[in-house]
Amino acid sequence: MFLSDDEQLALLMRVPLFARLNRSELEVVAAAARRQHVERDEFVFQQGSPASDICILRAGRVRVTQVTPDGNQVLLRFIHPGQMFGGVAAFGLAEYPASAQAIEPSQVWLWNGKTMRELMQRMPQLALNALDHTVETIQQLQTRVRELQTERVERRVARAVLRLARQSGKRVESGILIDLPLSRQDLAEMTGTNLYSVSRILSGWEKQGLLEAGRERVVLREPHRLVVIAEDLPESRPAASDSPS
Amino acid sequence: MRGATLDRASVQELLDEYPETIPIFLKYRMACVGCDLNRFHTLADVIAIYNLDGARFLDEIQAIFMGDSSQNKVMKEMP
Repeated sequence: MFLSDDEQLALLMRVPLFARLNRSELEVVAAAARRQHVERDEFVFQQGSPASDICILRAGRVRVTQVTPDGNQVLLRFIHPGQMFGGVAAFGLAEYPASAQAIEPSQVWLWNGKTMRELMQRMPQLALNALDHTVETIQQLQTRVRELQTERVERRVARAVLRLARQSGKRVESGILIDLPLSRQDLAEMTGTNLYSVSRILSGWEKQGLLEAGRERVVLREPHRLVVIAEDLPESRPAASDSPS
Repeated sequence: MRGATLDRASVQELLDEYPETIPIFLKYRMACVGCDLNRFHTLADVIAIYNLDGARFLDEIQAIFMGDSSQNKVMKEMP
């Protein structure tokens, strides 16, 4: 696990946060780091603890895990030498959102948030790199928020369609007919959304073969898939065709 | 009541008349209990939907009937 100075700088140079720093700047960054050895299974930091340090793995292997709101532990990613983790500390978040645990004896570089901010004042490129990273993260989060909002509306519409099926559905050759004069506008009003969203959602489902939506007639061809959407069921098994036999 | 008749039984009727079968549905992680589509689906439908080992599933359901003392309960077929 011995790395020469050059090898260490080569490793640091490839970290996006340190991109475009010249050699002497990299040396200053390297010198400002603390070094920590962690044994296998030892935590570098734990979810929920104060986010004090940015870390880069010098050698070994670390895994990042998170306990989700519903209590499950999920593996987020593995960290290889040269990769950064715990980056939130530089960017001001109060707590680590995940835990980092060594899965073999490892060596870590750490910079505390204060040190990193001081370095940024000396090296504008470092600050710009951090800004780029933050912007990228924001864009990812915005996309995810839009996806979640879309998923919510889709679930509401799926639930409404299933309630209608339960109430007024009839089995027909190709599936379940909702035997009501039901317009897209009706559905929009039932679900507190608008005609545009309902039309978009129904068209999407039609393309996927879930249903046929005529002007005032809906036939559910694969009703279970609507249940999967409505109830957010895990789609663990390949669904066979489920037209009622 | 085995075989052709049982797998054509209505999920809703089975759950209504034999709530003792509910644990089997839960065990196979099926969403049938309380599902809006209950009355449209037969056991054969849900076996296909959930990709189950049909014979094993039906045997377990059947075992519930064997334990049922009221011999007069008859499963209706889906029309």
